[in-house]
Amino acid sequence: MLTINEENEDGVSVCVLRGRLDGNTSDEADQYLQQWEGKETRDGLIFDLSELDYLSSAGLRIFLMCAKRAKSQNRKIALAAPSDTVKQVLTISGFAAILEIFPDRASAAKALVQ
Amino acid sequence: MHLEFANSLSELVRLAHGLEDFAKTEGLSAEVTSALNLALEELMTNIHSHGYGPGVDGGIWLDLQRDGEQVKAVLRDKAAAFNPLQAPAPDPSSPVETRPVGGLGIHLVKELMDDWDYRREGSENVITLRKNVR
Repeated sequence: MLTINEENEDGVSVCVLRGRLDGNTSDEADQYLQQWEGKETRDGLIFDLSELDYLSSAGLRIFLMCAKRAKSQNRKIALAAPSDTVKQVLTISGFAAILEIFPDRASAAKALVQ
Repeated sequence: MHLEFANSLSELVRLAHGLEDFAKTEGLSAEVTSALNLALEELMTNIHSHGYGPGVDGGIWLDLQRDGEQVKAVLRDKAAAFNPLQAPAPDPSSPVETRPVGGLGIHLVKELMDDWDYRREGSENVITLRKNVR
């Protein structure tokens, strides 16, 4: 079960992911994000992971594809506030080295508007 | 605990619930439970995508048991013989533009588990995982 909400942090768009981003929910998340990218005019996107309970490699793929598209469109993405278990997955997969991860939304927003 | 799954990604929900029950009974930490869930999800997704193939009928059987200071998980399927644990590891230093989108799952399994083994038993692929409980 995954729910996605759009919010705003200091003029930066925020996607709040709640629940589980896994092989069962990743297609739905991918469709949502592609739609978001199509209509969004701002340059930065923050994924708020504070309420994400579980992330598998299917979910990592979503972030990676999103980062690839962002790069080609000169947009920036950042991950904010992952739990310890989610952070562990980001670290051992090597994603912590290729994606920007911040302890909270405010610091992520600050880095994106610079 | 014995669980039986159909060859469908929607079964990942039942996997998660089954693991939660097992973790409660055995008093496992959230970290150990999440690691087991991740590793088993990766392997079941592999069986679905590359073993039986999507949309093909097939069974997947999981046995979970506490073995001293470890949890032992045995996953069986009847797809063609294939050892997913032989897949090469992705280069963790490659940049986002060239990073391949697949190939991560097995790397995660090996990082998260303390021991893993594949064998072919008759018509079955049998993968055994072990995770230290502390």
